Amino acid sequence: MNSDESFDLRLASLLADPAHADNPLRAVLGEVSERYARQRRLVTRMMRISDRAQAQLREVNITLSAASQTDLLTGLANRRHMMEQMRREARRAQRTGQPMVVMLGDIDRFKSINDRWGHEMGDTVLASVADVVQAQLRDQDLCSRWGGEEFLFLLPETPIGKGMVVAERLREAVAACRPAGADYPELAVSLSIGVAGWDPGMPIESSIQRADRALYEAKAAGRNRCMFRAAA
Amino acid sequence: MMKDLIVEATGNTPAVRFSGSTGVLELRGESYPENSFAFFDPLIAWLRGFLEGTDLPVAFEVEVAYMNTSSIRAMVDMLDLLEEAHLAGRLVTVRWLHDPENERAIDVGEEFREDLTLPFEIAALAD
Repeated sequence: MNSDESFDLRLASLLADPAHADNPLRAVLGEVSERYARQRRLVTRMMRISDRAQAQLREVNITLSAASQTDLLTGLANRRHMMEQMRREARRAQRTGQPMVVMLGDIDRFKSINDRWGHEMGDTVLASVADVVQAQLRDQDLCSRWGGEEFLFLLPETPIGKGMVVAERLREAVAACRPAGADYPELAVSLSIGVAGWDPGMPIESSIQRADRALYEAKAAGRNRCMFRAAA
Repeated sequence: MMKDLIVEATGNTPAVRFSGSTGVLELRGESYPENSFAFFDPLIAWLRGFLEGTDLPVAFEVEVAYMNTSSIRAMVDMLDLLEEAHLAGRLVTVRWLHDPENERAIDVGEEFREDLTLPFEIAALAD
């Protein structure tokens, strides 16, 4: 029995005792006791409703936060979320002393896909490429839509040689995919990829810049290929 | 006849449309008043006056997605007044409207309904 219940019992037995029937406090006490019980019920009810209202807010918060981190079209992390995640991974890798690989991929001649097939097809291509590359990655690898038709990847605990193998695998998978299915056999897609290493002590931004330069070289060398930039 | 009680919505308080002639009482918006007594006391006083001074049926429509704890308290007080009127034989209905995208709002409505016996409908807002 909790202290509220034992108090209620004590009060009830005093009020019921005929020895106190003439006590002028009896009526008042009876009312106090009723009011007290009412207040207690109100508090319980308020807490219940308030808990629900807060649970609702929390859920809305989670939904909004997920929406603010995700690129709507591809379902990948957006640029801002990717940047946060990369900084976190860099701090972790700094502690463990593990190398990482940064890769920047860009769909080749995307503008001409849009021009020839329309923007809706362009969107389909973006979403398909996102699915294809994501399927090639390990759970711990990060993949984001970095810009228009650009995808940025981060492979934790990965030496640069392994990174080149992954990049080549991504390139092949994209080249083999048919985003619009059998209806549009002429619609081919390819991905150029710039690859850069990251070693403990480096700012993550410098790896992104090198990946960007390597991507530029891959484009200049004829597209649908992977190029690698060592640390300067 | 009761005068209408009309209060425009602000960033923290809902719009109030209490009609003394039809008994349709509407609350719409979000409810985070800085001073909840200052905001709700006139509403509760109006409702008391309306329930005591007329015998019109009451249709209470609430479309308040978010509210702070003191607003919940005021809402409970108003619903209790309506419940009392209902138990005394008056025709009282409550419609609790929620954003169809926000399913959790149904749970909140259900918690309010829990202690009441008056007709209390929870419905999704039409787009």
